[in-house]
Amino acid sequence: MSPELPHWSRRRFLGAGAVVSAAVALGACNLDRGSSPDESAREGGPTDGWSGERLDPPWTKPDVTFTDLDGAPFPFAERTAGKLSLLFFGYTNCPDICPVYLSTLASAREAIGTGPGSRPDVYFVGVDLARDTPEVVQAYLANIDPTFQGLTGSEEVIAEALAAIYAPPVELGEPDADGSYEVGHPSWVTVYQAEDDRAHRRYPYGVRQQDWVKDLPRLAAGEST
Amino acid sequence: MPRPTSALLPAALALVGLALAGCSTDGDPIEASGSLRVVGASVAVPPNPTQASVSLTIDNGTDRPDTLLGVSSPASAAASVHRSEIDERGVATMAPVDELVIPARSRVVFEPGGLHVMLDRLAEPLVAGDAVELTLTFAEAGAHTLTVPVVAPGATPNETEHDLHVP
Repeated sequence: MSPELPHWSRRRFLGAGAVVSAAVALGACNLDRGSSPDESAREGGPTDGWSGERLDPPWTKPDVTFTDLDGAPFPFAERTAGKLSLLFFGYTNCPDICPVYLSTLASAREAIGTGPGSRPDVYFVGVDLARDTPEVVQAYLANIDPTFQGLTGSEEVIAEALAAIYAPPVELGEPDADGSYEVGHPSWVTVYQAEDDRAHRRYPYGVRQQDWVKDLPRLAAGEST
Repeated sequence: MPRPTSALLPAALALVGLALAGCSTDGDPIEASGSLRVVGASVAVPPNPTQASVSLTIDNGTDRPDTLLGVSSPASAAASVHRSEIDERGVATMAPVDELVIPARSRVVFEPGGLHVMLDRLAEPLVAGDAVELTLTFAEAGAHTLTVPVVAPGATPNETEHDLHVP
Protein backbone atom coordinates (compact mmCIF):
# COMPACT_ATOMS: atom_id res chain seq x y z
CA MET A 1 0.00 0.00 0.00
CA SER A 2 1.46 3.36 -0.94
CA PRO A 3 1.11 6.30 1.42
CA GLU A 4 -1.79 8.61 0.71
CA LEU A 5 0.31 11.67 1.38
CA PRO A 6 2.24 12.22 -1.85
CA HIS A 7 2.84 15.91 -1.19
CA TRP A 8 4.76 14.99 1.96
CA SER A 9 7.32 12.95 0.16
CA ARG A 10 10.15 14.77 1.92
CA ARG A 11 10.54 16.56 5.20
CA ARG A 12 8.67 19.72 4.74
CA PHE A 13 8.23 22.90 6.67
CA LEU A 14 4.74 24.25 7.01
CA GLY A 15 4.53 27.94 6.22
CA ALA A 16 8.26 28.08 5.59
CA GLY A 17 7.87 31.45 3.95
CA ALA A 18 6.76 33.06 7.16
CA VAL A 19 9.20 35.29 8.96
CA VAL A 20 10.60 33.35 11.85
CA SER A 21 12.61 34.93 14.60
CA ALA A 22 15.47 33.11 16.20
CA ALA A 23 14.27 30.50 18.62
CA VAL A 24 15.28 30.82 22.20
CA ALA A 25 17.59 27.98 23.07
CA LEU A 26 16.17 25.61 25.62
CA GLY A 27 19.42 23.75 26.05
CA ALA A 28 19.92 20.27 24.66
CA CYS A 29 19.90 17.13 26.70
CA ASN A 30 17.07 18.23 28.94
CA LEU A 31 15.78 14.69 28.74
CA ASP A 32 18.71 12.50 29.52
CA ARG A 33 17.85 8.87 29.82
CA GLY A 34 17.67 7.58 33.31
CA SER A 35 16.20 10.75 34.67
CA SER A 36 12.49 11.31 34.78
CA PRO A 37 11.00 14.46 33.26
CA ASP A 38 10.61 15.62 36.83
CA GLU A 39 14.30 15.39 37.52
CA SER A 40 15.31 17.05 34.29
CA ALA A 41 13.05 19.99 35.06
CA ARG A 42 14.55 20.30 38.48
CA GLU A 43 18.11 20.00 37.29
CA GLY A 44 17.81 22.29 34.32
CA GLY A 45 15.24 24.62 35.76
CA PRO A 46 15.66 28.23 36.79
CA THR A 47 16.65 29.06 40.32
CA ASP A 48 14.43 32.07 40.90
CA GLY A 49 11.63 30.08 42.54
CA TRP A 50 9.65 29.75 39.33
CA SER A 51 9.51 26.65 37.17
CA GLY A 52 8.94 28.54 33.94
CA GLU A 53 11.64 30.37 32.04
CA ARG A 54 11.47 34.14 32.27
CA LEU A 55 10.73 35.96 29.01
CA ASP A 56 12.33 39.36 29.04
CA PRO A 57 11.04 41.34 27.30
CA PRO A 58 7.64 39.64 27.61
CA TRP A 59 5.98 38.23 24.51
CA THR A 60 2.84 39.64 22.96
CA LYS A 61 0.07 37.32 21.83
CA PRO A 62 -0.07 35.90 18.32
CA ASP A 63 -2.22 38.30 16.36
CA VAL A 64 -4.00 35.56 14.46
CA THR A 65 -7.47 34.18 14.00
CA PHE A 66 -7.55 30.45 14.69
CA THR A 67 -10.57 28.26 13.96
CA ASP A 68 -12.36 26.66 16.89
CA LEU A 69 -13.61 23.09 16.82
CA ASP A 70 -17.05 24.23 15.66
CA GLY A 71 -15.44 25.87 12.66
CA ALA A 72 -15.97 29.40 13.97
CA PRO A 73 -13.24 32.07 13.81
CA PHE A 74 -11.28 32.46 17.03
CA PRO A 75 -9.33 35.74 17.12
CA PHE A 76 -6.85 34.69 19.76
CA ALA A 77 -5.78 38.02 21.28
CA GLU A 78 -9.34 39.31 21.42
CA ARG A 79 -10.91 36.16 22.87
CA THR A 80 -8.27 35.63 25.52
CA ALA A 81 -7.99 39.27 26.60
CA GLY A 82 -7.82 39.68 30.37
CA LYS A 83 -7.64 35.93 31.02
CA LEU A 84 -4.84 33.65 32.19
CA SER A 85 -4.27 31.66 28.99
CA LEU A 86 -1.96 28.73 28.35
CA LEU A 87 -1.04 27.98 24.74
CA PHE A 88 0.41 24.67 23.52
CA PHE A 89 1.08 23.51 19.98
CA GLY A 90 0.98 19.76 19.41
CA TYR A 91 -0.60 16.99 17.38
CA THR A 92 -2.90 14.15 18.22
CA ASN A 93 -0.60 11.42 16.88
CA CYS A 94 2.11 12.61 19.25
CA PRO A 95 2.91 9.48 21.26
CA ASP A 96 4.27 10.84 24.49
CA ILE A 97 5.28 14.46 24.92
CA CYS A 98 1.87 15.94 24.11
CA PRO A 99 -0.31 13.59 26.20
CA VAL A 100 2.13 13.64 29.11
CA TYR A 101 2.35 17.42 29.15
CA LEU A 102 -1.40 17.95 28.77
CA SER A 103 -2.18 15.31 31.42
CA THR A 104 0.26 17.01 33.79
CA LEU A 105 -1.59 20.30 33.30
CA ALA A 106 -4.96 18.60 33.78
CA SER A 107 -3.82 17.01 37.00
CA ALA A 108 -2.36 20.31 38.25
CA ARG A 109 -5.71 22.02 37.67
CA GLU A 110 -7.43 19.27 39.57
CA ALA A 111 -4.91 19.48 42.42
CA ILE A 112 -5.35 23.25 42.78
CA GLY A 113 -9.09 22.64 43.07
CA THR A 114 -10.60 26.08 43.49
CA GLY A 115 -9.33 29.61 43.79
CA PRO A 116 -6.72 31.56 41.87
CA GLY A 117 -4.97 29.59 39.18
CA SER A 118 -7.43 26.72 39.24
CA ARG A 119 -9.17 27.70 36.04
CA PRO A 120 -6.64 28.84 33.45
CA ASP A 121 -7.81 28.63 29.87
CA VAL A 122 -5.76 25.93 28.19
CA TYR A 123 -5.54 26.01 24.39
CA PHE A 124 -4.24 23.13 22.29
CA VAL A 125 -3.45 24.01 18.68
CA GLY A 126 -3.37 20.92 16.45
CA VAL A 127 -0.57 21.61 13.95
CA ASP A 128 -0.89 18.39 11.93
CA LEU A 129 -3.59 19.68 9.63
CA ALA A 130 -4.20 16.40 7.78
CA ARG A 131 -4.85 14.35 10.91
CA ASP A 132 -5.87 16.90 13.55
CA THR A 133 -9.43 17.31 12.33
CA PRO A 134 -11.89 19.04 14.67
CA GLU A 135 -13.51 15.69 15.52
CA VAL A 136 -10.19 14.05 16.33
CA VAL A 137 -8.97 16.98 18.43
CA GLN A 138 -12.28 17.10 20.29
CA ALA A 139 -12.12 13.42 21.19
CA TYR A 140 -8.43 13.70 22.09
CA LEU A 141 -8.94 16.59 24.51
CA ALA A 142 -12.07 15.01 25.99
CA ASN A 143 -9.87 12.11 27.07
CA ILE A 144 -7.45 14.46 28.83
CA ASP A 145 -9.48 17.37 30.19
CA PRO A 146 -12.79 18.37 28.62
CA THR A 147 -12.19 22.00 29.62
CA PHE A 148 -9.15 22.24 27.33
CA GLN A 149 -10.02 24.07 24.13
CA GLY A 150 -8.87 22.88 20.74
CA LEU A 151 -7.93 25.23 17.93
CA THR A 152 -6.87 24.74 14.35
CA GLY A 153 -5.96 27.02 11.49
CA SER A 154 -4.50 27.24 8.03
CA GLU A 155 -0.81 26.65 7.45
CA GLU A 156 -0.32 30.41 7.29
CA VAL A 157 -2.16 31.04 10.55
CA ILE A 158 -0.19 28.39 12.40
CA ALA A 159 3.10 29.62 10.96
CA GLU A 160 2.33 33.16 12.05
CA ALA A 161 1.31 32.00 15.52
CA LEU A 162 4.53 30.01 15.88
CA ALA A 163 6.56 33.02 14.83
CA ALA A 164 4.92 34.96 17.66
CA ILE A 165 6.32 32.48 20.17
CA TYR A 166 9.72 32.51 18.47
CA ALA A 167 9.31 28.90 17.34
CA PRO A 168 10.41 27.46 14.01
CA PRO A 169 7.75 26.31 11.53
CA VAL A 170 6.10 22.92 11.94
CA GLU A 171 8.27 20.16 10.52
CA LEU A 172 6.58 17.20 8.85
CA GLY A 173 8.67 14.07 8.57
CA GLU A 174 8.79 11.73 5.64
CA PRO A 175 5.93 9.20 5.76
CA ASP A 176 6.96 5.62 6.45
CA ALA A 177 5.64 2.60 4.55
CA ASP A 178 2.36 2.84 6.46
CA GLY A 179 1.93 6.54 5.78
CA SER A 180 2.74 7.49 9.38
CA TYR A 181 4.92 10.54 9.82
CA GLU A 182 6.39 12.54 12.65
CA VAL A 183 5.70 16.15 13.40
CA GLY A 184 8.17 18.58 14.94
CA HIS A 185 6.43 21.08 17.21
CA PRO A 186 7.35 23.43 20.08
CA SER A 187 7.66 21.50 23.34
CA TRP A 188 6.78 24.31 25.69
CA VAL A 189 3.61 25.95 27.01
CA THR A 190 3.45 29.74 26.73
CA VAL A 191 1.55 31.43 29.57
CA TYR A 192 -0.20 34.74 28.84
CA GLN A 193 -1.14 36.62 31.98
CA ALA A 194 -4.42 38.40 32.57
CA GLU A 195 -3.14 41.83 33.63
CA ASP A 196 -1.23 42.82 30.54
CA ASP A 197 -2.05 40.03 28.05
CA ARG A 198 1.62 39.24 27.76
CA ALA A 199 3.70 36.13 28.38
CA HIS A 200 6.34 36.57 31.08
CA ARG A 201 7.15 32.87 31.35
CA ARG A 202 7.18 29.78 29.23
CA TYR A 203 7.17 26.26 30.64
CA PRO A 204 9.35 23.60 29.01
CA TYR A 205 8.35 19.96 28.81
CA GLY A 206 9.24 18.22 32.04
CA VAL A 207 7.80 20.75 34.47
CA ARG A 208 6.23 18.72 37.25
CA GLN A 209 2.61 18.77 38.30
CA GLN A 210 3.55 20.14 41.73
CA ASP A 211 5.46 22.99 40.11
CA TRP A 212 2.42 23.97 38.08
CA VAL A 213 0.39 23.78 41.30
CA LYS A 214 2.85 26.26 42.83
CA ASP A 215 3.17 28.59 39.84
CA LEU A 216 -0.39 28.81 38.48
CA PRO A 217 -1.83 30.67 41.51
CA ARG A 218 1.09 33.12 41.34
CA LEU A 219 0.55 33.63 37.62
CA ALA A 220 -3.16 34.13 38.25
CA ALA A 221 -2.36 36.66 40.98
CA GLY A 222 -0.40 38.74 38.51
CA GLU A 223 3.08 37.94 39.75
CA SER A 224 5.67 37.80 37.04
CA THR A 225 9.01 38.36 38.70
CA MET B 1 28.55 -18.40 32.03
CA PRO B 2 31.72 -16.63 30.94
CA ARG B 3 33.38 -14.64 33.67
CA PRO B 4 35.21 -11.40 33.03
CA THR B 5 38.91 -11.45 33.68
CA SER B 6 38.49 -8.22 35.53
CA ALA B 7 35.27 -7.12 37.13
CA LEU B 8 36.24 -3.54 36.45
CA LEU B 9 36.64 -3.87 32.72
CA PRO B 10 33.01 -3.96 31.62
CA ALA B 11 32.15 -1.06 33.88
CA ALA B 12 35.08 0.91 32.57
CA LEU B 13 34.04 0.21 28.98
CA ALA B 14 30.49 1.26 29.76
CA LEU B 15 31.72 4.54 31.19
CA VAL B 16 33.87 5.19 28.15
CA GLY B 17 30.80 4.56 26.02
CA LEU B 18 28.77 7.02 28.04
CA ALA B 19 31.41 9.70 27.75
CA LEU B 20 31.89 9.25 24.02
CA ALA B 21 28.28 9.33 23.01
CA GLY B 22 27.36 12.32 25.14
CA CYS B 23 23.68 12.99 25.53
CA SER B 24 22.54 10.38 23.02
CA THR B 25 23.97 7.60 25.15
CA ASP B 26 21.73 4.82 26.34
CA GLY B 27 22.39 3.01 29.52
CA ASP B 28 23.22 3.76 33.12
CA PRO B 29 25.58 1.37 34.91
CA ILE B 30 23.99 -1.36 37.04
CA GLU B 31 25.21 -4.24 39.14
CA ALA B 32 25.82 -7.57 37.47
CA SER B 33 22.87 -9.93 37.80
CA GLY B 34 23.82 -12.39 35.09
CA SER B 35 20.57 -11.85 33.19
CA LEU B 36 18.79 -9.49 30.86
CA ARG B 37 15.52 -8.34 32.36
CA VAL B 38 12.65 -6.13 31.33
CA VAL B 39 11.04 -4.45 34.33
CA GLY B 40 8.17 -2.05 34.94
CA ALA B 41 6.55 -2.38 31.53
CA SER B 42 3.27 -0.50 31.28
CA VAL B 43 1.15 1.28 28.74
CA ALA B 44 -1.13 4.14 29.72
CA VAL B 45 -4.54 4.53 28.09
CA PRO B 46 -3.75 7.10 25.37
CA PRO B 47 -5.92 10.11 24.55
CA ASN B 48 -5.68 9.12 20.90
CA PRO B 49 -7.34 5.69 20.77
CA THR B 50 -5.34 4.54 17.74
CA GLN B 51 -1.85 4.89 19.17
CA ALA B 52 -0.12 4.16 22.47
CA SER B 53 3.34 4.38 23.98
CA VAL B 54 4.85 1.63 26.13
CA SER B 55 7.24 2.49 28.96
CA LEU B 56 9.67 -0.11 30.26
CA THR B 57 13.17 -0.60 31.57
CA ILE B 58 15.71 -3.02 30.14
CA ASP B 59 18.34 -4.18 32.64
CA ASN B 60 21.29 -5.91 31.08
CA GLY B 61 22.99 -7.45 34.07
CA THR B 62 25.21 -9.61 31.91
CA ASP B 63 28.78 -8.99 30.91
CA ARG B 64 27.93 -8.73 27.23
CA PRO B 65 26.09 -6.05 25.30
CA ASP B 66 22.89 -7.05 23.57
CA THR B 67 20.93 -5.36 20.81
CA LEU B 68 17.19 -4.83 20.64
CA LEU B 69 16.40 -5.61 17.02
CA GLY B 70 12.67 -5.17 16.93
CA VAL B 71 9.31 -5.13 18.68
CA SER B 72 5.89 -6.45 17.75
CA SER B 73 2.48 -6.77 19.31
CA PRO B 74 -0.76 -8.47 18.29
CA ALA B 75 -2.55 -5.43 19.74
CA SER B 76 -1.49 -3.11 16.94
CA ALA B 77 -0.86 -3.21 13.21
CA ALA B 78 2.58 -1.70 13.73
CA ALA B 79 5.02 -1.50 16.62
CA SER B 80 8.32 0.32 16.64
CA VAL B 81 10.94 1.86 18.87
CA HIS B 82 11.16 5.63 18.74
CA ARG B 83 13.12 8.26 20.52
CA SER B 84 11.60 11.63 21.31
CA GLU B 85 14.00 14.50 21.59
CA ILE B 86 13.81 18.18 22.27
CA ASP B 87 16.38 20.05 20.23
CA GLU B 88 18.20 23.27 21.00
CA ARG B 89 15.31 25.25 19.52
CA GLY B 90 12.87 23.67 21.95
CA VAL B 91 11.28 21.70 19.13
CA ALA B 92 10.02 18.23 20.04
CA THR B 93 10.88 15.67 17.39
CA MET B 94 10.82 11.93 17.16
CA ALA B 95 12.96 9.48 15.22
CA PRO B 96 12.69 5.73 14.69
CA VAL B 97 15.36 3.60 16.34
CA ASP B 98 16.14 0.56 14.21
CA GLU B 99 18.61 -1.12 16.52
CA LEU B 100 19.23 -0.29 20.14
CA VAL B 101 22.38 -1.48 21.88
CA ILE B 102 21.93 -2.34 25.54
CA PRO B 103 25.47 -2.12 26.91
CA ALA B 104 26.73 -4.75 29.33
CA ARG B 105 25.73 -4.10 32.94
CA SER B 106 23.53 -1.22 31.93
CA ARG B 107 19.99 -0.07 32.33
CA VAL B 108 18.09 1.56 29.48
CA VAL B 109 14.86 3.32 30.41
CA PHE B 110 11.99 3.79 27.96
CA GLU B 111 9.93 6.69 29.27
CA PRO B 112 7.97 9.69 28.00
CA GLY B 113 10.20 12.26 26.39
CA GLY B 114 12.82 9.67 25.49
CA LEU B 115 12.72 6.14 24.18
CA HIS B 116 9.37 4.45 23.83
CA VAL B 117 7.74 1.54 22.09
CA MET B 118 5.01 2.96 19.91
CA LEU B 119 1.98 0.82 19.19
CA ASP B 120 0.48 2.29 16.05
CA ARG B 121 -2.97 1.55 14.66
CA LEU B 122 -4.28 -0.32 17.67
CA ALA B 123 -6.79 -2.99 16.80
CA GLU B 124 -9.02 -1.85 19.67
CA PRO B 125 -8.88 1.03 22.13
CA LEU B 126 -6.92 0.12 25.26
CA VAL B 127 -8.81 -0.30 28.52
CA ALA B 128 -7.19 0.15 31.94
CA GLY B 129 -6.92 -3.19 33.70
CA ASP B 130 -6.41 -5.12 30.49
CA ALA B 131 -3.01 -6.14 29.17
CA VAL B 132 -1.29 -6.34 25.81
CA GLU B 133 1.35 -8.74 24.62
CA LEU B 134 4.61 -7.27 23.46
CA THR B 135 7.47 -9.23 21.92
CA LEU B 136 11.00 -7.85 22.14
CA THR B 137 13.60 -9.46 19.90
CA PHE B 138 17.23 -9.25 21.00
CA ALA B 139 20.28 -10.30 19.00
CA GLU B 140 21.64 -12.40 21.87
CA ALA B 141 18.71 -13.11 24.16
CA GLY B 142 16.30 -13.87 21.33
CA ALA B 143 12.58 -13.13 21.23
CA HIS B 144 10.65 -12.75 24.47
CA THR B 145 7.01 -11.93 24.93
CA LEU B 146 5.90 -9.74 27.82
CA THR B 147 2.44 -9.15 29.20
CA VAL B 148 2.16 -5.38 29.54
CA PRO B 149 -0.53 -4.04 31.87
CA VAL B 150 -2.72 -1.21 30.58
CA VAL B 151 -2.89 1.52 33.22
CA ALA B 152 -5.02 4.63 33.58
CA PRO B 153 -3.43 7.86 32.33
CA GLY B 154 -1.09 9.19 34.99
CA ALA B 155 -1.16 5.95 36.99
CA THR B 156 1.99 4.64 38.63
CA PRO B 157 3.47 1.91 36.49
CA ASN B 158 3.07 -1.63 37.67
CA GLU B 159 6.22 -3.24 38.99
CA THR B 160 6.15 -6.21 36.68
CA GLU B 161 9.35 -8.10 35.98
CA HIS B 162 10.23 -10.17 33.01
CA ASP B 163 13.39 -12.16 33.34
CA LEU B 164 14.90 -12.89 29.96
CA HIS B 165 17.42 -15.56 30.77
CA VAL B 166 20.37 -15.32 28.49
CA PRO B 167 21.26 -18.69 27.04
